[in-house]
This record gives sequence, structure tokens and C-alpha cells, in this order.
Amino acid sequence: MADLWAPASIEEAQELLRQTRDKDRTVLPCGRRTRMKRHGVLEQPNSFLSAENLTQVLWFDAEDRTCEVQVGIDLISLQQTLHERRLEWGVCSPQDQSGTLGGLCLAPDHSFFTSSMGFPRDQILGGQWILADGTSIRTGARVVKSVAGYDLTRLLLGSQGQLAFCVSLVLKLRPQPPRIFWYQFPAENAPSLPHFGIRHSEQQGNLFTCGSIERIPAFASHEISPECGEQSLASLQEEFQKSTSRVHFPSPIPEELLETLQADALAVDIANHTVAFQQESMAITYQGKWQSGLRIPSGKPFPWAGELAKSMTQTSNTFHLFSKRMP
Amino acid sequence: MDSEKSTAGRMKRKHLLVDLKHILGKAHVLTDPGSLLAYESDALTLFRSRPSAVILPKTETEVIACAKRLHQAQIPWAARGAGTGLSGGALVPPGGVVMALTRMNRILEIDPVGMRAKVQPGVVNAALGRAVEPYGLRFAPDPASQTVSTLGGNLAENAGGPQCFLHGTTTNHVFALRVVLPDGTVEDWGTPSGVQDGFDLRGFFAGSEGTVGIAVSIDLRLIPQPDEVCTFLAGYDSVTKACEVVSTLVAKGLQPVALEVMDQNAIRAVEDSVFRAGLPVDAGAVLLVEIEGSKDSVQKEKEAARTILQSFHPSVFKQAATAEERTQLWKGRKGAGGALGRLAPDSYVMDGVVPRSQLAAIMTYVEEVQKETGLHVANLFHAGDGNIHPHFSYDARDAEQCATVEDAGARILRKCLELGGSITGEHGIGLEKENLLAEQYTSEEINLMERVRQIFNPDDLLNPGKGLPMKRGCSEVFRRHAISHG
Amino acid sequence: MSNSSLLEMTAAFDCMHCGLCLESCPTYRATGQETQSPRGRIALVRALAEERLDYADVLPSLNACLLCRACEPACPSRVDYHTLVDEFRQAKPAKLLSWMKPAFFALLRFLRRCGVLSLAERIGTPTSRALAASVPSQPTLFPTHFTPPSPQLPQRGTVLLHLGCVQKSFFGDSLKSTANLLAAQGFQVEIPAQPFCCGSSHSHFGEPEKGNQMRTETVAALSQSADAIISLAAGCSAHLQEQSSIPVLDPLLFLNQQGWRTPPVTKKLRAVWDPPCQLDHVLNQAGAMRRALQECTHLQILEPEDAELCCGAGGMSYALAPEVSDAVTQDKIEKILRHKPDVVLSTNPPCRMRLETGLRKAGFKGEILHPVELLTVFSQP
Ligand SMILES: Cc1cc2nc3c(=O)[nH]c(=O)nc-3n(C[C@H](O)[C@H](O)[C@H](O)COP(=O)(O)OP(=O)(O)OC[C@H]3O[C@@H](n4cnc5c(N)ncnc54)[C@H](O)[C@@H]3O)c2cc1C
Ligand SMILES: Cc1cc2nc3c(=O)[nH]c(=O)nc-3n(C[C@H](O)[C@H](O)[C@H](O)COP(=O)(O)OP(=O)(O)OC[C@H]3O[C@@H](n4cnc5c(N)ncnc54)[C@H](O)[C@@H]3O)c2cc1C
Ligand code: SF4
Ligand code: SF4
Repeated sequence: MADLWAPASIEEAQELLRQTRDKDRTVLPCGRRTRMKRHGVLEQPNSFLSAENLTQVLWFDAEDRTCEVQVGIDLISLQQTLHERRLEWGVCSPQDQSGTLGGLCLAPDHSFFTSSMGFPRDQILGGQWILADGTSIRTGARVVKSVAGYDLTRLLLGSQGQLAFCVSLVLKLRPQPPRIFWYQFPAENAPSLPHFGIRHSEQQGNLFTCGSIERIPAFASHEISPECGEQSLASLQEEFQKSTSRVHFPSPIPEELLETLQADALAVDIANHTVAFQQESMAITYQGKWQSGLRIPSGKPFPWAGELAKSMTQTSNTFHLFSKRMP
Repeated sequence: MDSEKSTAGRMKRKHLLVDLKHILGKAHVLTDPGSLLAYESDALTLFRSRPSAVILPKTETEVIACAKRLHQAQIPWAARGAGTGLSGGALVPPGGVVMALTRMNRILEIDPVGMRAKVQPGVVNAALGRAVEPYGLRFAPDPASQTVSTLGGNLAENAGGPQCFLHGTTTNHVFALRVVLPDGTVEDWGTPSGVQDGFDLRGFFAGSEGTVGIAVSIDLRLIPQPDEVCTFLAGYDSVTKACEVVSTLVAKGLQPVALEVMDQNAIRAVEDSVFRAGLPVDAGAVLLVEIEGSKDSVQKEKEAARTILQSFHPSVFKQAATAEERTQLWKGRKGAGGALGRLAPDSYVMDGVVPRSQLAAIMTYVEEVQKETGLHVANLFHAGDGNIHPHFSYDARDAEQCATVEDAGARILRKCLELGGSITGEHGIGLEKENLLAEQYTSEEINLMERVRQIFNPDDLLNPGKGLPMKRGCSEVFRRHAISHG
Repeated sequence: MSNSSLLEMTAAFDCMHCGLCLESCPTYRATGQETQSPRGRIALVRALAEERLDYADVLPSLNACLLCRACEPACPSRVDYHTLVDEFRQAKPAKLLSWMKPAFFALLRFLRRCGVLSLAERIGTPTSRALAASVPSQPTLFPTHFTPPSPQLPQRGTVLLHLGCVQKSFFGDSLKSTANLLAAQGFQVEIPAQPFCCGSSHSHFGEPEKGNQMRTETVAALSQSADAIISLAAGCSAHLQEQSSIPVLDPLLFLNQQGWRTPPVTKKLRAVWDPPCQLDHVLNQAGAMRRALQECTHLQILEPEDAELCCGAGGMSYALAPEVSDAVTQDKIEKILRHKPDVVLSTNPPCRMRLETGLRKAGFKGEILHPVELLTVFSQP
């Protein structure tokens, strides 16, 4: 059985790593391991190093719309803290918010707002990390724009614990939209559409009418937004007609959806994973996420992984890749 | 012994040139003195270094073949786009080879449905904009040099522009790229949809200043054109005041696409140039605010912005009435840097960033430095991003003045760091700021960057000496020049 | 020109090396080479002045400049670019200048008619080949004793017809059509005795003094009181206008200003017009000309993509640096042909020659004309 370390301070984490340094033990950084549990770990490490006890908001600059938080924080507390200041992190993961911020950002990231706001990592400016030998480093900056040196933040985000232990991240925030509509309707009422929820952020305007188009499990739909307005099926369909034009799937369109889509769409291009609707004015990117968790388009194996890890950690106890690719 | 070596060196070079000509065709390997001189600097004329050859590949295959050959010859080389970089990024040490990517200027694919475009690196930023316009789309990053700078260069420098306040810089608009590494191997980084599976090398490449590899094709994110745009111009009596307005707009939760400030010196330069935009020449500073979105949202945001802008008692306040007026305002803003260059023999553009809550503080400091040194300073900056660009005018023939300017620049950048900022927001480290980099990052952090570079560029032959502090002695290879630029 | 005065001049130039002019330059666009850009050329001349380069190193780049002046409006520093080139070229005036005599043109006409030129297009130096290829396939000489028809009454005014060396020697028919058209619209056309050439090429290819003197002579010859000097060559117009007190205009532009008495009629055709640089960047009349063309032909006048880029003629630059010019022209021809035109219109003789060479090579079968001929050739009663 692997140990679980959940240090309460950076110094403690550094110390733990320094101690294991030459003992040829493997350590795997993690958060609350929700994702790990779901997908499994490729190779059991000797110890898990969890950030779950590092949950502080380190600083908050409301005027600059930035803050730095430790990554053990869960997304609900994070957004709550931000909402108090009428800000939000333009990323949220309403499916399950029990995981940590670190777990979201260190793995292939995705959020509801990807189609309008970009990926979560686009909203991260820098961070603090501990390398395998216990050295602490900072990457990026705390300002919204910096091209000083290499963008190691980007490299580390999504590294799935292979390169460094993440302690804190600097987030770029945005004003909380004045009103957010969640259009939501039960499947039985909408034979031609699957169980979709559409987030409509007024402030972004019609262009980004749909910050995202997602399938929302029933259990989550009530927690989604404190200021949600329920709309009827009719208004949803109206919305669809007004603005929807095409949905692009990065991976093959799931069969269950295909049928329903075909009924409604102008054209379905199976080879290109694209469905076109009536109008030309906008597109929605669907990130291929289904009940089974995150589905990642398969890429070719990454040849630098080993070298990068070696170079970054430079000790015998390399951080371990927990799981290369999901099925 | 020595002469033997140099003969061998000459032979080696000759063989290399023969092979490169074989790969590219004679016309696309330049070795005549005139051509080499034209490539000795980019838009930062402080540095000059004449390459030994300039090669202009047209296809990916040619780039790969050239890279392999150059790797074999162990010759330092670097990519060059339009050469508008402001940090000496496209220079090679003497004897090196410049690979100009200007001929790789084809847009390979526009996918209006997926809102993506695939381009060769030499495509000019504005040309992509023109090509996707009919689809109701645009490419958001809009550096002031967008009419000429290449997307490859934009990516390598992670260029930003006024619109990046809302939409983010180049790195946020890249889905995938194909990279030729210094030894000629080809890698595909990122995915066509942008979903990142594993290490985000695409994000790492952005801003790597051409030291990691050569991007030979780039998948870019396009976004829809807004339904409606509204541009405000507000004149205030001082820069600090304008900065306060900016901080208030940001803090009050407004989401304009662009927030730009110009001070009086900049305004006057613009009004005195071909970019004349009807700016108030008596105002201490002007603030340009642009809001975009749907009709409804623009209407609301506009009113909110108007209220804030007016609560600071602007001396001039207007809204661009027509599309032409709006274009003219932006032309003025984007041409300001150039217009300033006309005023003095030489002009030095600084690039630093502070948290937006510290804008007034840094501008006050800039003013202090200006008063102390007596230099002429004009300010125009991406206020929304906290990205300042003081332009110092000076005469490069005056060594003392050069030193003063350099010192003033360094002091302001240190102040940026002190206020929690960064020493460069968009122009990059290049040849110029390596020493300051060591003040922004610890030696461990820089060391780590160096180690990462070595993975991709182990011999440091691709664009040597850029971006990171150089090993002792290397920096002298790039001659620092005080050229009297007119 | 001495190094020190060059140095002084480039110093006065305020070129910041910013590169904002790059994309407006046709030679840069066609080759991708910094050396073929305005910024590169300025840097080269400056290096020459600073004695970091020799004259011979600089020449190929400067020779290839088409002097289209598209780079000037793009420059935030308002660099007075063409002056630099004009002055640089003074050091070694182009040899071709001394050939700009009636006899030489007559020879070319003769050689074209008897077919020898097609041979010359294949052998000889790049310059002679480019020159031979540019001679139109059916050159017509403007007759020495041509009496313009008397104006349709009531007479509206008087105009002076400027002939121009290339125009008169190769495109005589267009001049005749012009005279007829103007008369039909109620104008008295005067053709005063005038020097063979107005000196425009001399001004831009190294003999500015001679060019100025020729201009003075030409303007003096055309100094009668009249409503306008009519010229079919935008290059001549730009040159003459600098000195002339009466407007120097293309006939269509002039007639459009005056108003058409009987609107001309044309066949339905796909016509592409490529605006000459002198008209666009020097005289700033491209917009007015575009409107004039639309209005008098009632055709939708198409323009190639990037119409503001030079066609590669650049006066006689095409003969001095054929390789670069070829690349520019090829690009232009592709863009013209994309419109699948029936006729291609040009309002400047060197451009017309250059376009004809390129279009014929690309297999284009239609006509290449000055729009005046479109009105007469295709006009239906
Ligand atoms: C039902 C469900 C729905 C989900 N929906 C979404 C969604 O919509 N969008 C989305 O993006 N994600 C989604 N996820 C995944 C989500 O990202 C994670 O659940 C959660 O945020 C991960 O947190 P965790 O603390 O449990 O991470 P863990 O499982 O502990 O770790 C995940 C990965 O990150 C690494 N890691 C974690 N913390 C650190 C650290 N401090 N330093 C270095 N490496 C670290 C680990 O090594 C591991 O590779 C979903 C997951 C579930 C179970
Ligand atoms: C008037 C003016 C205004 C400017 N305004 C802005 C602004 O608003 N915002 C901003 O961010 N910058 C601005 N700049 C700076 C400059 O325009 C940008 O850095 C631009 O992105 C450089 O592009 P380029 O094509 O000229 O690249 P170059 O200068 O040719 O090259 C820059 C670097 O990129 C590398 N490179 C080029 N192509 C590739 C490739 N395909 N693969 C890998 N590396 C490559 C080169 O090696 C070099 O290190 C401005 C410059 C000027 C002169
Ligand atoms: S000529 Fe003008 S636009 Fe061109 S580089 Fe010089 S200053 Fe810039
Ligand atoms: S005049 Fe024309 S060809 Fe010459 S540099 Fe300027 S744009 Fe280029």
C-alpha cells in the first residue's frame, strides 16, 4: 500500500521530498485523487503527495482581477470566495467539484467555458512548484501578460504530476457575469435533443451565447448556479434556432447522440465529427466528454516525456506518470 | 595550424552552401554582401550581426532538409519572420545562417465550422485576418505590427495587442503546431481542437523566441466577429488620472476588449503624422476604450463605461460615430510608435508590466525618472493589461545619453518587478534583457529553463544566446551598436 | 553622389527600421527578401554611405526598386523614399536612357513586325530579352500629321494632347481614339509640337536634371490656355503635373469630370483594370479613375486582388532587374487571370506592355487596352 502524505505547508512538502531524495522511492503528486480513482494509476508509487491540505487563498488583488491560491482548494470554495468579490475564475467544472484545483489544472483540462474563454490554462498566469529534489520554483508571473523566459507554467500544467508538485497557482479572474441563464430541460420533453444545458452569459453577448454546450447529469443541475433561471423547452429551442450553427466534436460523435442530432441538424459530417445546424453565426465546441469521464483524443506517444522528467527532477526519485492515456 | 583550420572551415562552409543551394535552388540562398547586410538587424537596431548566408525555404520539406544539413554542419542558425521583433530575436552570431520564412506564406486551411485556420509561419497576421473575414471570423491577437509581422514571429514572441486585454495573447489562440527541431526531426504539438493531452508543448513553444524549434505550420483559433463595436475616446489632464480610470474600469467589473492610454507627447506625435486621428492635442492623456459583443450587451456595457469615464471629468469625450472614425482612432494608436520615431534621432521602446492596480504608481515613477534624467519620454500603453511602453527619445551618437537611457530603462523595469510585475509583456527577452531576467527569476528557475532548452536544442545552435542569460563571453558576439538612426 | 551627402540624406530620413513598409512593397512580397524591401534598400544605401558596403553590392537591390512609391504612405516616419532612389541612381544613370529616341522605337517596331524580336526574346542578356519581350505584338505609330476632327458643337472647351514617347511610338491608335472621343464630346483637341519625351524616366533613372529640363520644355510646349492637358500615360501625368499649372489628366478622368454629353456604350464584358502606381500612389487619382471607368463603361470594373501592388513594370525597372520584376509580374498576372477577364485595361504604357508580355505568356487570348479603346472598339451605335 502506498503512503499518503498531505503536508500542511510548503516547507513540510519540501522536507518530505528531500528525505526521500536518495531512497529510490517513487512519489506521485496528487490532489484528492478523484480522477485517479476513476482512471486508475499506471504504476503504484511508494507515496502519494497530496496538496489537499494546502487550501489558502494567498493573495487577492481585486483591482487587478488576479489572485493566487493554493491548489488543494476545491472548486466550490474557490468560486464562492471569488463570487464574494463579484469575480469568478472563467472556468468551472460543474460535474463534480469535489476534486482540487490542482487536479483540474494538472491533468488534461476542460471547462464549461472552453468555447468562449479558452482552456483553464489560458486563465492561469503562473504558479509555485516543488521539484523532486525539494527545490521550490516560481513560474510565470502575477501579471496578466509576461513573456520573460520560457513559459514553464504551460509545460507544467497538464503534466499530470510527472514533473513537479504544484503548490499554488496565480489565476486570471473575470467579473462575475450579472446574469447567467442555464437552460435545462429533461430528455423526455426533448426527443430531438439530448439532455443539454446551455450556459448563456449575457455579458459576453450573443456571439458567445453558448459558453458551452454540455450534457449535465441531473444531480448537478441544481447546484450549477446560484442565479439560474429555468427556461422552458420552447425558449431553449428558440435559442437554438437563433444562434446555434454547428457543433464540432474532437472525437467521434457518440452513437447515442448521432441519431438525435441527425433528426435536427442540417448536416452531419461523421468523418469530421461535425454537425451543422441552421445558422452560420456561431459554433460550439463540444469537448467530447461523456459520463465515463474525460475522453481525450489520442495523440501519438510523446517522445520527450522521459527526458523532460529526468531533466526537471534530476534525482533518482522521479515523479511518476499516473496514467498515460484514458481509453 | 590556424590557417589549416580556417581553410577547412572555408571548405566546410562552401560545401554547406552548395548543399543548401541544392535543396532550395540558387535564388533562395543569399550570400552577397548586400543581402547579408539587409539581414543584420531586426527592428531593434541596437544590435547588428551579419549572417554568413540567408536561406528562404518555401516548403516544410525544405525546412527539414536545411535543418538537417545545418545540424550536420554544426552552424548556428535562427528563423526570421518579418524582422519586426524588438529584441534582436532574429539575429545570428557572425558565421550563422538566417532562415527567413517569408516565402512560407500560404494559408493552408480555413475551417469556418471548427473556427480554426492552419497556416504556414510566414503568413502575415493581417493577411489571415483578411482571409477569414468573409466567414465572419477573426484572429484576435493584434500587435501594432500586424500589417507586416508574421504569425510564426507572433507565436515565437507570444505577441499581444490592444484586443488581448479580453481575448488573451497569441498563446491563447494556438491549437497545434508542427515544429522542426534543431536536428531536423519533426514533432506535432497540441491537437487540432486544442484539447491538451499531456505536456503542453504548444503553450511552451509560444514565447520561446525561436530557441526551441521552427514552427512550420500552425493551427490557430479563430473567433467570431462581434455584432457590434463601440469605441470611446476620453481625454484627461494627466496620465495618472487616465490610469486611475483604467483601474476603476477593471475593478468595477467591466469587460472591454481594449483599454489603451496615450500621453500628451504620444498624442502630439500621432497628430503630427500620417496617422492623424483627431486626438485632443491639449489633453494630458487619452484613453481609448473599446467594447464589443451583441447589441444588447454593448448597450449595457457602454452605458456603464460612459458613466465611469465621465465621472472622472474628461476634458474631451466622444464616441467614434462611424466605422471609419473607429479605424482612424486605432490607426492612430497603432501608428503612434512609428510616429514617435520621427521626433528624435533615436527612440527606445521599453516594455514592462505591472499589476493593473499599480498603473498609477508605475507611471508616477516613470515621470520621476523622466524629470531626473531630463529625457524626452512618451507613453502609449496597453493599460488594460498593465503593459507599459515608455518611448525614450535620445541621440545614439551621444554615449552619455545612451547610458542614461539604458539606466533609466533598467530602473523602470526594476520598479515593475518591485510592484509585482514583469520585465517584458510582449517584446521578449532577446538579446537585451537577459541580465534583468536574473532579477525576475532565481538562478534555480533560470537553470531549469536552461535544462529544458537543452532537451530540445542541446547544442544551443538554434538561435543561440536569446531569451536566457548567456554563458559568460557569449554576449559579445552580438555587437552592440549605437547606430545613429537618422 | 558623394558618400557624405548620401549620409546626410539618409540621416535626415528618420527610417527607424520598423518594417511597417514591408508588406506594401511588391518586390518584397514577390521575393520575400529583406534586400528587396524599402527598409532593406534604405539600410543598404546607408551602409554604402557609411562605407560598410560597396556600390556594386547595393546596386542589384536598388535597381530592382520599381519606384512605385507604395511604401511611402505606409511609413509612420514619412520617409521620403523616392528621393533616396532618385539620388542614388544619379551616380550611374541607366544606359537605356540614351536610347529613348524615335529611331530606337522605330527599330523596335520594325523588328517586331518582321518577327526578329521573338528571337531576341530568347537570346541575349536578361535586359535585352526583357526589353524585346515588352514590345507590343502590334505596335502602332501615331502619325506625324494627324488632324483631330473638329469638335461636335456646341464646343465645350479646349484640351491639349500630350503624346509621350512610348505612347506615340507603340500605341498610336489609342491616341487617335482619344482625339476622336474628345472631339465627339465637344472638345477642341490641340496637338502642339512637343518634345519626343517628357523626361519622366530620366528623372527616376539617374538623370534628374535632364529629366527636369525635358519636363520644362514639354510643359512650355503645352502652355497654351486650355482646360487640361490630356495624357494617356499616368507616368507622364505624374511627372508633368509637378510643374504644370493646368491639370494633366487621363481622358476618361477628364470627361467624367466634365460630364458625358452622350454616354458611351460598351459591350458586356468582363474587364479587369490594374491601377498604375503613379496614378494610385503619386497622383492619388485611383479612386476617381475607378469611378470614371465604372460610370462611362457601365461595366463592373474588376480589380485584381492587392490591386495597389505594382505590376512589375516600374517604368523601365523591368529591364534593369528582370528577375525580380518577373516575380512581381507573375504574381499580378495570376491575380488578374483569377477574374477570367475578356479584356484587361491599363492606363499607363509601360504597365500595358508589361501586362501584355505576362498575359500572353500565360496564354491569355483577350485584348489588352487603354479604356479609351474599349469605348470606341466596342461601342455600339
Ligand atoms: C464525475 C467527474 C466529472 C468531471 N468533470 C470534469 C470537467 O468537466 N472538466 C474537467 O476539466 N475535469 C473534470 N473532471 C476531472 C476533474 O479535473 C477532477 O475530478 C478534479 O478536478 C481532480 O482533482 P483531484 O484533486 O481529485 O485530482 P487527482 O485525481 O488527485 O489528480 C489528477 C491529476 O493531477 C495531478 N495532480 C493533482 N494535484 C497535483 C499537484 N498539486 N501537483 C502536481 N500534480 C497534481 C495528479 O498527479 C493526477 O495526474 C471530472 C471528474 C469526475 C470524477
Ligand atoms: C512598429 C512595431 C510595433 C510593434 N507592436 C507590437 C505589439 O503591439 N505587440 C507585440 O507583441 N509586439 C509588437 N512588436 C514587436 C514585433 O512586431 C513582434 O514581436 C512580432 O511578433 C515579430 O514578428 P516577426 O514576424 O517580425 O518576427 P521576427 O522579428 O522576424 O522574429 C522574432 C522571433 O521569432 C522567431 N521566429 C520567427 N518565425 C519563427 C518560426 N516560424 N518558428 C520559430 N521561431 C520563429 C525568430 O527567430 C525571432 O527570435 C512591434 C514591432 C514594431 C516594429
Ligand atoms: S521606411 Fe518607414 S516604414 Fe519602412 S522601415 Fe523605415 S521607418 Fe519603417
Ligand atoms: S518604391 Fe515600390 S518597389 Fe520601391 S521600395 Fe517602395 S514599394 Fe518597393
